[in-house]
Amino acid sequence: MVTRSPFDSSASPSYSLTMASKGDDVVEMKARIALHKGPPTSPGQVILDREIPSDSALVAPLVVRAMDFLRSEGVIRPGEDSKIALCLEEALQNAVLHGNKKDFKKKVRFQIFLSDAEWSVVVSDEGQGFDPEQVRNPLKSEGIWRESGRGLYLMSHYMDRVEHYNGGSTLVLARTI
Amino acid sequence: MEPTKDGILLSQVIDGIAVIGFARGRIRDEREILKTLESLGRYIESKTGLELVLDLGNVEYLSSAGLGHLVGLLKKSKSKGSTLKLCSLREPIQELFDVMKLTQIFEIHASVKEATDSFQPVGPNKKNC
Repeated sequence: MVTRSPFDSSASPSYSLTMASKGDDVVEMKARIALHKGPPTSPGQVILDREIPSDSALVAPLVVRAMDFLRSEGVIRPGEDSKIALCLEEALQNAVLHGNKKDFKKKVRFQIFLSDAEWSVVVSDEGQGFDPEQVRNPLKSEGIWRESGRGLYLMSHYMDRVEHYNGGSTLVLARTI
Repeated sequence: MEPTKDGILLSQVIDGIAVIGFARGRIRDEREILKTLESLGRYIESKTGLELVLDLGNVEYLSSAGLGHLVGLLKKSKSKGSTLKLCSLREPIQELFDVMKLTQIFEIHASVKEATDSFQPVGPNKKNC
């Protein structure tokens, strides 16, 4: 169970990586993808805080619930429902499948934050983290034919900010209001 | 081809071409879609020389997992000498294909008719699925 908070307001990122250094990748990436060793700072007021076991079947109901919350806050831009839902699903499925490796005893924490400038979601798993720089470009010829590995790219395409904390086990997706 | 148990898969044969569609395809249904695509993949692997059209007109939502499954179907089709084409993509799904450059590997048509018409006639005794 995730008992600790993924946040630490006193800690600042100890280092940052970005796919901007990866040549072809940066041309296509709309959002900066950063990796920080430490935890994120709290990005505003929490409006939803849920925790689920690592079961893919539990992701879609949580996404539907989260979308209801975001719509009720009026922060979803017209015509972007499916794009935002996609990003939430990708983030949660990555945490379940790659972070916690479907270990039902491990939990995924999902939070939505709202501030004056942006809304954000924070997804935390109990896995070992990862380095986004090692993720292959899904747009290159061999990548197009792969049957996985598109989630991070899609999140970076549709969100304004994509950041990984705690070595990659906490993901922050943010969108300006 | 038999419909799946949950009835999400719809299929018909038009001029010897198998046209496969979905009854629905929302966020809540994606796991059903994935299972259906896996079932379709097993069918494709069991045959050779198929002509298939996958009608995505009722699919409102696909994640990267769905895209990956579709790529898998295309690879299986090619390995079995079959032809798989897609049609009737809704705007958000078409955008996903554009963003991920999957339009480079999939043949995509605006309608079922356009897709079935795009197959070259092979004579009076076309293959049936």
